[in-house]
Amino acid sequence: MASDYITADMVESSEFSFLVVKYNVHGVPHTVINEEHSIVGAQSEMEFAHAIIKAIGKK
Amino acid sequence: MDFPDFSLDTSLLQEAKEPEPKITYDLLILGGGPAAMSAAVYAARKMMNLAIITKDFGGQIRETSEVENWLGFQSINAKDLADSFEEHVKGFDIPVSLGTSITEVKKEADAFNVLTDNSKIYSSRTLIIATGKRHRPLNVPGENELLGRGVAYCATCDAPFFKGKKVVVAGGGNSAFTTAVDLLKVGAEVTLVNFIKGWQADESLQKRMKQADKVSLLDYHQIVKIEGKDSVAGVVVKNRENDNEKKISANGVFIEIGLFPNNEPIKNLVELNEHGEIIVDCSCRTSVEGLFGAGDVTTVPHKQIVISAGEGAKAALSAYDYLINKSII
Amino acid sequence: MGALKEKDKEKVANILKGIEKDVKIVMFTQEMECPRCEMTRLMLEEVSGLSDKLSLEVHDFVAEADLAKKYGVDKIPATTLFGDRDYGIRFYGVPAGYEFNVLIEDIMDAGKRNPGLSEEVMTELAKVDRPVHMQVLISPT
Repeated sequence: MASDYITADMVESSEFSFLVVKYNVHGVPHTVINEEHSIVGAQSEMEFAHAIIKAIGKK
Repeated sequence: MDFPDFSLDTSLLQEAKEPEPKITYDLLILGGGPAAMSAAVYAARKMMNLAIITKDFGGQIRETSEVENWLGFQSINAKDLADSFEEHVKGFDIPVSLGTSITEVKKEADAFNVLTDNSKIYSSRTLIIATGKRHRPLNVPGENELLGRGVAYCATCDAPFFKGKKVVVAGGGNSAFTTAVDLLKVGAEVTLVNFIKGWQADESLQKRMKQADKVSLLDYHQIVKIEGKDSVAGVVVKNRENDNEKKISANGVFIEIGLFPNNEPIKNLVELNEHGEIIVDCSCRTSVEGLFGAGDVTTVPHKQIVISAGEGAKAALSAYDYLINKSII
Repeated sequence: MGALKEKDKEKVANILKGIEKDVKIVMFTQEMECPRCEMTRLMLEEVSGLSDKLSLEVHDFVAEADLAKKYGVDKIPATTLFGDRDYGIRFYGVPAGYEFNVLIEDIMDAGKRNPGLSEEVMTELAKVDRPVHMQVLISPT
C-alpha cells in the first residue's frame, strides 16, 4: 500500500510447493524480492524497507 | 465441509498507539517476551506512564509448540499461552513501538534515551531491559550462507520442510533432543552431534532417542563445516577423540547449542557476566541506577517462562519504588 | 456450519464496524472449483456479509484470463484488496490460521487508505522507483 510500485503476495507454502522448491525455502517466513533476493525470518518494518531498497540496487 | 481455522485473534488486531518521542516516560520496557509483558502489566497497575519497545510479542514461547507446567496447566499450547499474555497486556492500552529494533541505550543526566532502528529516540526515567535471548550460532563456514536454506534454529517453525529428509541436529541438551523428536515426527532421519562427551538432555528424552529408529547419536564430535551451494548438502564432523573427519550427507542442520543474550544496546552501559548476561540483584537492579533487568537476558538462574514472568513483575515494582523514593511519582 | 465459527463471526463483525471507507475484495477462483478455492470463496462471502462497507467480486481465473493477467494474478485461490485503487496485495492460497488475521488487518488498513507504517519507513520506501514484487512464503499455523 505504501508505494504503487510494490506488490506483495502472501503465499501459502503448502499449497504452492513449486515455489518452495523454486526459491529453496527451508523455513518460513521466507520473503523473496523480485524473484531474486531472499530474506528469511520476521524482520522489523525498517529492515524490510532497507532490503527492498537494496534489492533494487539503491542506497 | 471441513473448514480450516478461520479464527480471529482480536489481541493481534488491537492497534496500540505509538509512544511519543517528545515526552519522558516513567518507564520504558524493552522487549516483548514473558518478562517484558509481566513487567508491563505490573507497571500499568501502578499507573506508571509507560511504553513498550519491541520487535514482537511472545519471545521464545513462539518457537515452541507446547509449554509444560506453566502454573495451572500440565501442558498448554505455546501459541495460546503467548497470545493470552499479549491480550492481557494490550488490555491496558499501553503505547507500543512494534516492529522496531533497538539500536542503542544512552544514559543522560536524569533520563535514559533509547534509539530505535527507525531513528526515533524515546526517553524515560527508568528502563527495564527484558530483551531475552537468541540462538547461539555454531560459527562455522556455511552457516550464514545457508541460513534459511537448510540451516535452521527453530524446529517448531521449520521441521515440516524436512519431511522424510536427512537432518543433523547440533547440540546435546533438551533443545537438541526436542528438535530431534519434532523431526522424527515428520519422518526425517536424524543425526545428533554433540561437541562434548555424553548427552545432557533429560533422561526421558535420551531414552526415547536411543530407542528410536532413524536416529544416530554422535557425541564428542565437532561440526567443522556446513557444505552445500544453494542449500545444505551435508556437514563435515571431526571426531574429537582422534581428530578424524568425516562427511555426513544431510539436507538440513538444526542448531540447538544454547542462546545468546540480546544485550547489544546496553552492553557498554551495564555490567555483564562472562556469558554476556546482565548482572541483576534480587530486586532486578543492574549496575546502573534506574536501569532494571528481567528474564533470560539477565543472570537469573534457570531460564523458565514462570521465572521470567516473576522477574518482570519484580522489575516493574522495583522501578516504581525507585521513582517513589526519588519523589518523582 | 459456515466457514467462520459463530463467536469468530461476532469478533470479525465488531472489528469491521471500524472500517472507515469502502473496501472491495476481489477473488479469483474457477468454475471447476478445487476445495481450497471453494473454502476461500465461502469464507470471503461470509466476511464481506458482515459489513456494508465491504463488497466481494468473484472472478473466474480461466474464463476471465485477461482480467487475471491484468491484475498479475497467476495462481488460485487469489484474494486481492481494493480501496481507492489496487493496493498490490495478493493472498495466494487459503487465508486461514494466522493469515486470516492478516487479511482482516489489511482490510482495515485499506479502509483507512493508510498502511500504518512509520514516517521513517515511508520515507525509505519513497525511494522506490521501479517495480518491486515481494513474495512472502508462509505456513499454515
